[in-house]
Amino acid sequence: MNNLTNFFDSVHMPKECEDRILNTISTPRRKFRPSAAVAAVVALVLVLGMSPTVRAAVEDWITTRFPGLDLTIQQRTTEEGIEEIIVSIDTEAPTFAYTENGRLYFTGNGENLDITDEITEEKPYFYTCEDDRGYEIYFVVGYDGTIENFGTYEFIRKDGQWFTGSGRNFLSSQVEGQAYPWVKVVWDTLNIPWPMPR
Amino acid sequence: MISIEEPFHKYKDAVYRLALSYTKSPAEAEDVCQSVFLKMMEQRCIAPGKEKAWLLQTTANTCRNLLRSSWWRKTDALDDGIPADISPEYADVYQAVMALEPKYRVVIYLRYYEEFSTKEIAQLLHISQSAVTTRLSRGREMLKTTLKEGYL
Repeated sequence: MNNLTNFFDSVHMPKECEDRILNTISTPRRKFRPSAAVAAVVALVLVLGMSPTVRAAVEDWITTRFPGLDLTIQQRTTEEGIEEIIVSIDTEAPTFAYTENGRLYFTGNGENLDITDEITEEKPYFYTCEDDRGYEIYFVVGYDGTIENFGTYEFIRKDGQWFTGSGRNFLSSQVEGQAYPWVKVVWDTLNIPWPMPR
Repeated sequence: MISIEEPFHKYKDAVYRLALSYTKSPAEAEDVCQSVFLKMMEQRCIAPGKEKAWLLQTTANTCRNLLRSSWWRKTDALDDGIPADISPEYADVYQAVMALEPKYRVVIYLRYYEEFSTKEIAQLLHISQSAVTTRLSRGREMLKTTLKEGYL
């Protein structure tokens, strides 16, 4: 395989591509550009009760995507502090769990963990990490007894306060509009302040 | 946000090669690279020492989503020809490798260049280890038919 290795060795990211990406990642603040992949936008009034106006082309928007890939937060900051926060839920993005050969795997935060034996219908899997600015990210994977029918939740907390959360496949298909038992465990375990989905 | 300039310089070629292996198109591979490093910039935390795995995993996910997209299916794989920076001595190898289906090309790249184990490739691509072994075997056979013995 030496020649094949030499061949791959000769493949490099083109310089203009490298420069373009470097230019992008060296710029700490970027304009908010709505992504076509963002399927639903939920505006939350989190600060000072201000109107959650969605503004599509405003300077000073900072976009932060969290590790579960479901949640993106855009926040606009002025000299007065944070003025507006928009939480987007990207339903097109891959989630942080998958099944294969009857096993359930967790992939959030760069992991690839077989969690099949760690969960039951009433015992979801929890994973937590924290970034350098003190945001705590809580991942949860639960299921209804059928591995393929798993659901996920992702919460963000900072300074002891829950910031936001996003979930997929947490409502039972058997009893319309009712959350799976594992969801109640999530709410009880993490002491989530918001009403449980139903 | 995390600092990504160091991982960018360290792994940019690995990300590009994997993206090119999937898409076969230098232009699409560049777009994938940009998307992957932007996602990395917006990550809140990546476990130390797992940057490369995260990047390749995200590259694979991004490419798979791209290949599954209706836009991609309609346009089929773009063939941009041989990139200008590929040495002429590797033109035959480039064409032979790019003639493979992406599923074979990707495992060959990860196994023989990145030197991942079949287990690691299985985890990275979300496929079984036996599928990796099968794809490696078939990919090698296909390359053998088009390349001189010395390449394999």
